[in-house]
Amino acid sequence: MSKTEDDQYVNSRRRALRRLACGVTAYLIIPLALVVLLNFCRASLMSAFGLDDATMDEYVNLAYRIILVAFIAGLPVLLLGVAYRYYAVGSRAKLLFGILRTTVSALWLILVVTYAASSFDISSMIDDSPITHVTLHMTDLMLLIGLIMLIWIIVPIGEYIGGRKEYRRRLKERQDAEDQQSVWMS
Amino acid sequence: MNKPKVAAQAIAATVTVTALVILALSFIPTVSPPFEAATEGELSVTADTTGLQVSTETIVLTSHMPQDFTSLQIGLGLGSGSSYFELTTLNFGALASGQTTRAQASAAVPLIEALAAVGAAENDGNGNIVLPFSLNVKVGYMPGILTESLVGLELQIKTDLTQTGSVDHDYDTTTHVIAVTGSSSSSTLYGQAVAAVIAQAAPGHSDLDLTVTETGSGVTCHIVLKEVGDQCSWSMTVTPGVSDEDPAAELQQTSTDLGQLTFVGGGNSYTLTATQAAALANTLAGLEVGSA
Repeated sequence: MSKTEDDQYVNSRRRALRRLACGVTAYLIIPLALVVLLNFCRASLMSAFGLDDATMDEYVNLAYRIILVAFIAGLPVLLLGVAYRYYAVGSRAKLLFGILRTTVSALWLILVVTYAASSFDISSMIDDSPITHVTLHMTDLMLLIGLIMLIWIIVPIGEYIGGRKEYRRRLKERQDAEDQQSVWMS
Repeated sequence: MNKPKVAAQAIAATVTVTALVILALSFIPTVSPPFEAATEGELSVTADTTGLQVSTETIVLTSHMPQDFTSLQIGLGLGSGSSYFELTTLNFGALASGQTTRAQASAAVPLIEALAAVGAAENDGNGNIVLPFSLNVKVGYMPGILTESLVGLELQIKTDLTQTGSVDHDYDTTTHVIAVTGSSSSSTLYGQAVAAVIAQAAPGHSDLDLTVTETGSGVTCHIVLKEVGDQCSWSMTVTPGVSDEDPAAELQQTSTDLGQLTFVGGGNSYTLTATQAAALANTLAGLEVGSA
């Protein structure tokens, strides 16, 4: 067994911190960098899509708002992910946090996409039309997608089933070693 | 290798990808544009002392989506966007993919409902009151596993009907105010003022039950039309600048503007000034068939 596979059966702070850093980068830093880049290229985007300054500002502000809401709403997912990564494969704590993370991820997806859809004014795209107002109702669709996402609950369950035996063996070995050490000390 | 974990990942990935591909395919339109909406003909409005009779324009809808629209409803209302107040809704059933349907609705709108919706009315600056009617088209798409319809689309189509009558500038709101200055408390005073405005605006519905409650910010009036009971009831909060000590005196000073009356009905609030109520009363009284 490799060292990495071996480490999976031990709780690890380093693994948890790595997950935290990756999460902040993926959910906050990269999206913000993309919006900053978008704003940097605003002149060419405005001429390409025929937008004025006010409309462009509106879109940029909307993007910032969505990223912020997505990050704040995603904080529980991130923290559960950190806890999930901290615990050893085969432990009941990892199973619990794995299931919670998947459930909260599905809720996060529903919340963020529904918020983004409701923030987006489709009406502004249909200037030459008798249609003055457009509303897209997609809550039920998001619920269905959320349910599909819940299928991923089977992954931490499978991981628990596959790693439980090895985890218990490692735990027993460590306890035996500690017992022996305490006997020698005494 | 953790075989149960790998198997679980494979199953979850397969289910997710399959489901998302099926959903995506259901939304890719067969022709562009996926959905067309247009109006033909005219929207006509007639009125008498009991209410408005409104006939919608013909709405032409064509769907090029891969699945049928499961439901089609057309609402008729005043205003648009967040200030839209729906007067009536009619159901037109399903619309098959690739088919065109022509739908037309007519509705009788009780005068008190039209009065409540007057918050959406505008003045064009030339003494004409403008009642901006909208048609609200609601379609349900894709029968779902969970609910009747997974995706709904709502369109508001603005009509060209903008002028339905003119404001009589000789209408004297002061008359109503003078008629109620003898009251001793602000709640009674405003209750009577509101009743006077409504009686003038809706002479066919003057038989009202009126309950007046004083609140911290003003006076709330709950109005129930006796002939239809709670099916047609409205609460309004009046927040004029009148002190409790001498309401009559201050009301006389501001008699050209009674303050704002806010109607709450159907989950929405509508503001009605005395001037608007007076304008509406005149408009409704002298309303003729509107032209698109």
